[in-house]
Amino acid sequence: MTVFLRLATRLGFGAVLLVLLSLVGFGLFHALPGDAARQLLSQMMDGAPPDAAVTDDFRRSLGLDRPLHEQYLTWLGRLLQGELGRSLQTGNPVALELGIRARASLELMAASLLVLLALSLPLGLWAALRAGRLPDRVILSVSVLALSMPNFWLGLLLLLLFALVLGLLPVGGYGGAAHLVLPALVVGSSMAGLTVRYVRSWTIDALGADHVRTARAKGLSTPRVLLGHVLPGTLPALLTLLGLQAARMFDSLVVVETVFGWPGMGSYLAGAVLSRDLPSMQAALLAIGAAYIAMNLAVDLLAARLDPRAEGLL
Amino acid sequence: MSAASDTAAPPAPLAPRLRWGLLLLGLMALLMVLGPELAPHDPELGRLRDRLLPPSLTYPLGTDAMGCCLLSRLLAAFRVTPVAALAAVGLSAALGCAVGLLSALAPPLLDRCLMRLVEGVLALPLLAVALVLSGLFGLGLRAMVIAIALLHWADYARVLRNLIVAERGKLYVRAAEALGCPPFALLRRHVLPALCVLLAHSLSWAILTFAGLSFIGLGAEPGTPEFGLMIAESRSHLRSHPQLVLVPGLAIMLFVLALNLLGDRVRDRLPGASR
Repeated sequence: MTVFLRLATRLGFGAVLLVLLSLVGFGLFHALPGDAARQLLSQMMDGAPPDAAVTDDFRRSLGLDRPLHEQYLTWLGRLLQGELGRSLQTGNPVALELGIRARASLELMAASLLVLLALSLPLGLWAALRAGRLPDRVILSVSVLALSMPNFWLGLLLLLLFALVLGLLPVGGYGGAAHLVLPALVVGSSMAGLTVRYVRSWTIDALGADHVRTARAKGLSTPRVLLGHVLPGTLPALLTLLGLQAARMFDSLVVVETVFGWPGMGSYLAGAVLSRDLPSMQAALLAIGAAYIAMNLAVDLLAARLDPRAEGLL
Repeated sequence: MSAASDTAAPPAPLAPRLRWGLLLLGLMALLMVLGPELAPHDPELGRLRDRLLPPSLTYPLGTDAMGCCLLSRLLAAFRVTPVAALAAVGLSAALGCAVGLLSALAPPLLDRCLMRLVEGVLALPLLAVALVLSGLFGLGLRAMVIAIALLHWADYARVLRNLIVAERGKLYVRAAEALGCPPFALLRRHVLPALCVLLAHSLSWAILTFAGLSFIGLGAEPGTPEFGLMIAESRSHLRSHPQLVLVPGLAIMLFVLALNLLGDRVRDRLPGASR
């Protein structure tokens, strides 16, 4: 029963956050210095001051002449029906643009998580087995380097090597798997630095545990001990870490998507902020925020499900 | 008198990571202070005759596409991103520590309200919200610093409050209090190291973030000598003049590396730290 109560509390907290986020998004329109309708119009007319009658019409058409709470509720109602307005830049419905962008970002995130796992699991296990010796030292040093590298710079260097010099991969843009390789490599490897260290330290702890010692004493081979007895124990922690990393991956997406011209949410938000495209900014913020809140909630639930000890933390 | 943590773990010699980290960080701090004075040329003055020159005696690292001296720009850049990062982290830490301290010492109701606020801020995607806020404040590095400080303080508030609450109940702290140890000394010895780790990591994160945002045009103003911006402006010459991209990137990397090495080392020495 208490578990359900805790779950309900968490869901309630998530809902409150969403409402707060929507208030922030709504506030964007009104936080502009001066008259919002005038500002928007002059932006659409490349800075020319609009005349008063047109501004009044525009204000009425946006509903900006009504009281704030009424405006908010109307806006929220439209939002819940998926009407996010039109982009000031392209004139397309924002919801349509967001849908395409979200798909591209999800593809990149999935590929980056794969790269992250493919790099950090084997390297972390290897470092743990050789703890204190040369492979361990090399892997740890490289992980610090990976954490210290600006990801856009790594992206440019990889572009130089694989696209410009070797000509193996496309320079950027959206397309097949070949376009996905470099951005996923950059995002995945920049996050792998941290994951490798966690995998290594969990494995070292597990290798000293009684059940692993017993498994070794039974004469099991090292790979079987690792796969059958060490990894399952670290799985809950690993999944939680991956979930948190996936949620935080957005930070790198903003820059990396722009470097590679990948049409995802990160480059969309950056472009919207750069061109002060309010409806796009608003919608992107809400979509990213909702995804982030949902992701964090999912991580907590998953952790509690996998590890009963974590249930109290829910 | 030896530190309390020394009884738990044998005191390690000044490990290579700490030594390298301190050395590197010292060098970086020196460059931040002296850098612009050492510059051989005006970092913002372009001579179109001298575009894209290879390294020479006049221009030790060559010139960029605008004919500016790369070394001078690089040295000037040490006062842009790192200072912005310091400002953002300093503001966040000051605000966050004040809230954290207040929360830890306040009556339970206020404590709970403050912590809910902190949780709420932490549950937002920091960079996305900061980008939108900085857009409202009018873009640029200064707007970004304020936007990040408005969100990042919550990390400090939570860490400080939880540390104080966790430590206060422990037997050795009560013993130390009973022995007449002033509260400030307790804070310094048991809370400050953990705070230093957070400071080092959030500084390195801030430097990378500011450089990245400048690279995509959301940070420093165009033309400013800034690491990320220098890389962006030389991007089209990547193939013919890779040093224009390589050198500023290496400078960021060394700075962040120094901070990471130091932060890791201090973290490893915290009581209860795993490998």
